[in-house]
Amino acid sequence: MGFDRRAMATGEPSGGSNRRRAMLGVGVAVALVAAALTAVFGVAGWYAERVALPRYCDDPKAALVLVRRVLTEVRPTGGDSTWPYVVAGKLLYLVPQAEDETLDAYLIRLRGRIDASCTRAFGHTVGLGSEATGGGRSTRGRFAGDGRLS
Amino acid sequence: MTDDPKPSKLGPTVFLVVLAATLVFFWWLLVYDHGAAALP
Repeated sequence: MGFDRRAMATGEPSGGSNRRRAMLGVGVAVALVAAALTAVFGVAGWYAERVALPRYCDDPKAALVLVRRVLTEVRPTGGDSTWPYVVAGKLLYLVPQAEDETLDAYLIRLRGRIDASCTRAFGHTVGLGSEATGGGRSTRGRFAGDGRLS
Repeated sequence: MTDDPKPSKLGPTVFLVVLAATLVFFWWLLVYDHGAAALP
């Protein structure tokens, strides 16, 4: 820091100027990386809502039953094919469960997100029966057919 | 005069493998269409 006599005499940029330029470059790089990450996450979220979630509109009841099994049972497949559980398991990544969220609350929220995506994609919601979310091991109550806790 | 030791390629290899696995996972999660018959 301070007065750079050599730089002043030769007209070269001083150390302070170089440092400022370097810091500006680092700042621009950080901003570009932050913008790229924000854009990637934003596009991924948009694509999940518009394309990935509506894939469950055909039979969301089955998906929610499998999600409940995956979250509550040690061996959810029970010797059956694993693939349906893997497909339903995508929902755990598309709509993650919050840290302090109960299983029932999570399934209600998940159902709401699927309904919203179906409405957006196809213009109508899907009807879910009680078998979709009831029957689990939760001690906090069971879902009624209309999705309320009973 | 001795040659410089060759730099390890472990770091770039691990980086590329993790990057490829990440891309495959996100492709499967978002792009891959499992189809209507995938769920019972």
